[in-house]
Amino acid sequence: MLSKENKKKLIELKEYVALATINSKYNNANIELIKYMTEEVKSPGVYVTLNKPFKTIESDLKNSKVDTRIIIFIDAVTKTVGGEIKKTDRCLFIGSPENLSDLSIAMDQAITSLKGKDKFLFFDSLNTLLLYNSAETVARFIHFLAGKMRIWKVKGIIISLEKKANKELIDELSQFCDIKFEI
Amino acid sequence: MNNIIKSLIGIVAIASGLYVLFKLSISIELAVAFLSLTFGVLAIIWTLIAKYSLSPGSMLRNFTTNFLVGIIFLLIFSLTTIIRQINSPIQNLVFIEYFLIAATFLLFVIAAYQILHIGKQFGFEKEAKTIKGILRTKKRK
Repeated sequence: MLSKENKKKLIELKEYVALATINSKYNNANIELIKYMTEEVKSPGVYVTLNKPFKTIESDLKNSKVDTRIIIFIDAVTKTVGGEIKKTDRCLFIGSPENLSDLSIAMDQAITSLKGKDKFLFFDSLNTLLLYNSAETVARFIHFLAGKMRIWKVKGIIISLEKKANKELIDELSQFCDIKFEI
Repeated sequence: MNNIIKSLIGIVAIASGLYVLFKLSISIELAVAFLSLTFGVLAIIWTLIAKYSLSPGSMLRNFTTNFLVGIIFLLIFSLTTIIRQINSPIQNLVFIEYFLIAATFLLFVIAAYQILHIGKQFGFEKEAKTIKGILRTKKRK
């Protein structure tokens, strides 16, 4: 559950880069955060999934009564034919989490297309990125992403699953973020 | 301050380069051809840097590859023009030039199609409009 203290932290800042480390019940924590963004903050946003396919995420969110119509999905986990980029009316399929250039362009285009001041970017998750890229590449990418989030003026949430192996990297990355909280 | 000095040195270097180029060249046409050649080389260097900064297999990297080959063809075309202008013994270059210019345009057409495809795939304007409409309806309620 998103604690009152964390909620207060998120409400106080209009734009931020937050690193959310999830200890347990990954699914519920994600839904909780998205629900908070779409229902309480009432902002549209971009959901970047590297962990679960778009279909699963969409159905989980719909089951929890989250309005998925105001979210643009970018799926870098579902394999497309020939590993090519494919777009449907609900989601953009990148094909692979290794393809960081296309992922960056997709995020840039999706966020900048959303008009209005309030918008969010949900990046799920750091750990999957580490499976496909070196720790150095991931650190550089997150540094780049945190910088971009500030330029885009969004509420940025980067999800990381709590693991001892990634502790060093998470500590390093928390330097680039405004808030770090655990769920 | 450091940047201003760098820029000044750059401007002086370019100006002296242009002066030498026009002074040494037999004709203005040749000088312009050499100048175009330097632009071509710079374009190739920048495109190469861009290509190797992008992820392998990414759409933009594929686009830069086509664009790069196009610029190389254009550069060779400029070279053949120079060869013709300096009264070189190799004069029968017209057909090679025709081939090079046709190939360049063909490569640029492919690159343009690729950028059209990238625009279609990465463009979210339609989705953003739908979201805006949904949010407006929600606010009214």
